[in-house]
Amino acid sequence: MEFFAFDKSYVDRPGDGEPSTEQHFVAYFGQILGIMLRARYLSPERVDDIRQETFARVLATLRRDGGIRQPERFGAFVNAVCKNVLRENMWHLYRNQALQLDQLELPDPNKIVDLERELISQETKEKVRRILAEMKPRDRELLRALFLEEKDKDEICREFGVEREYLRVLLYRAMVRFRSTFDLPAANAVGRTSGGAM
Amino acid sequence: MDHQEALRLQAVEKYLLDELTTELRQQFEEHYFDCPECATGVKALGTFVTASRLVSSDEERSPKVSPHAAWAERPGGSTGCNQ
Repeated sequence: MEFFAFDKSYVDRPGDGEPSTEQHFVAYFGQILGIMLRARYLSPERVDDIRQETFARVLATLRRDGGIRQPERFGAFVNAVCKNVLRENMWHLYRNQALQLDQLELPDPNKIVDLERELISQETKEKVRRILAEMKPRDRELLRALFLEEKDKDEICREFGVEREYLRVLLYRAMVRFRSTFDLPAANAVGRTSGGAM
Repeated sequence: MDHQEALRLQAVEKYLLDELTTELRQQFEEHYFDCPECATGVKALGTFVTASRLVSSDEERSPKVSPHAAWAERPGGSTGCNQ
């Protein structure tokens, strides 16, 4: 988890064949591209294809003479390239499929869980396990209904007697707590869990 | 969308809850790819949600393995960290 801003020197480096910057670029954008693409209910294979094609096109642009015009807007550029790749990909998909519901590609939930398992480290899971354990039982159950059982949000709110705003507040607190574990050495992070605000 | 607008909208939380309209979602995606603060928020919350799902899935597969089962009811609201 890192806080990162881009500038001209950063976007010039992959163009010069600098491998560590290229690796950083792939790691940094790989995660947010993945989140953005998975939100569109694409299969893991399709997410990976689109992501790889986005990387290839962005790196090819950086290596070309002139590179990109606004280095400080590098993130927006990556986003725009990905949206173009996504549009092309969807166009090919639907052109090659008769639009019948039984032929539409839907992600296999088991494959998604397997892919997620590869992306999340054991250390991260332990941090999350501790944060969940600090929460009130009702809040844990609420998150479980939301993200594991994937129940309808209005139904969850009715069942737990909360407003929609409460779901956002709960997520905000979890995010703040989770981020705080990355600002500290691992040993200190363990000690903080008993004093959590949630 | 600028950062103040993203904060006012609670865009990170709404994005992960799939509560933004299509237009706002597009605007927020354009913004957070360029905004280190929002990108970090989206990554943190996205990772938290994914890891929560995995923790729960692991505990369902082997419910007796973890004595700190995160999703389990804890009478009295114990903080749950005995390490």
